Amino acid sequence: MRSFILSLALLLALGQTAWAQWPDERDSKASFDNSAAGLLSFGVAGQTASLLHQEDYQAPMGVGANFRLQFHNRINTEWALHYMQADFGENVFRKDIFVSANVLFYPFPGNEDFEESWRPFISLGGSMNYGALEANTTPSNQVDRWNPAMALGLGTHFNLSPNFDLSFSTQYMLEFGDKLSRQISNGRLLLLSLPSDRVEQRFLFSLSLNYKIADLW
Amino acid sequence: MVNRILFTLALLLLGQTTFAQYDQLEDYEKDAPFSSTEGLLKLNLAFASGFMPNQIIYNHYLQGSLAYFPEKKVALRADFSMLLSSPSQGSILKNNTGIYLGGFWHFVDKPIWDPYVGLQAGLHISQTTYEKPGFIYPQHGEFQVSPAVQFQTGINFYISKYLHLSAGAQAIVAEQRGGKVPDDYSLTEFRAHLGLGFQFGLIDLEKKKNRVF
Repeated sequence: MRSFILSLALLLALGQTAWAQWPDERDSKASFDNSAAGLLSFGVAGQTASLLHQEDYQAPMGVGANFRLQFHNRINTEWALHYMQADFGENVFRKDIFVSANVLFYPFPGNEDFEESWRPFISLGGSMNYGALEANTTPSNQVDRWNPAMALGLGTHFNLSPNFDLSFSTQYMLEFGDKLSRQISNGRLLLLSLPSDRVEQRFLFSLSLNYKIADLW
Repeated sequence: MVNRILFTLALLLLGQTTFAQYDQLEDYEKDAPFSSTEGLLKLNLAFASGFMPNQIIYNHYLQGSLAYFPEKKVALRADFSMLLSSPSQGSILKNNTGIYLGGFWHFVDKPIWDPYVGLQAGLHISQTTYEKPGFIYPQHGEFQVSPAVQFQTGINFYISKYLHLSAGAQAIVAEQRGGKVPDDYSLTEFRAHLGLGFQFGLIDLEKKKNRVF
């Protein structure tokens, strides 16, 4: 326990030392020209989600990678692949893979060269979601399915430099198609993928680091 | 473990003292071993000790990283870590290898002491043992791949133009599920590391400065 507290203290001390030297002015200039169109960035993300009306589903942990390609000073696109895992009731876990495309719209004019810190955005997009349930003790007992989904979100870039940003976003996702569930029948665990009248709803929370790697046009 | 952390803290305090000897950042930068971090490629190998708060066990790791600075103060970095041993009594962790990719912010250009923070996403490939009814010895579960997020902070000390020492702390969030093992196994861990590395400048900054375009 003592070591754990010392580790935390170390983490804080190092963090504080580092933050104390935060520069006042941005001394890294954007390498791209006047238009932000054509900017290509690559990023990695950590994610978690909250699935509504699904008591078996625990908070998942996910990671992913994404490309962004900007088409206009105020319109960006994001192409992403995310993988998540979560508990799904006792002795079962759920895997999700999201292959998504989103349009990011920057509602506020200015900061088109990403020189200032904050750049909020609204996102709208679609995805194909792979979902699978697997029994912990018998991995062969599993079920999976692909569903289409759409998502509306809010987020912001925090520009550490014009080329490098930390992005936070929250998306509300509607998923259509079969629903995954588990049942115990005669003491046996049944994992099911069945058509459902109810649209599956979830909130997705993402934190990503992105770097602009090229200005394509 | 405690001694190692205290040593790291001492190293940090020494770094702060060194900074305090310079009135102006410009004076400090004059003594830096290279003109800018921009274009730098860094390789580092480190020994890490970690504590898993949910399992109450200690582990030892070999860690490595490859970082590239596309611009000053910004590093894109890939890390790996491999479990060397999990000596705590009752530990069922047999394998725990992590690979991560992410970005780091370094607070000083032209550094001698170089504090940084970073965030990485990655995957853990892990394996645990479990008790199976009717079997005397623990059974090995299957290898499992788990998503992981890692926060890092630390400091590099550039000994020369080509060599540096590093010390830092990491917080890793991950959880292993399934693989014949009935229960989840939290891989969430706090680590402290000490390492040694090489760095090479990949961009001729003088040439870049004089470039026409």
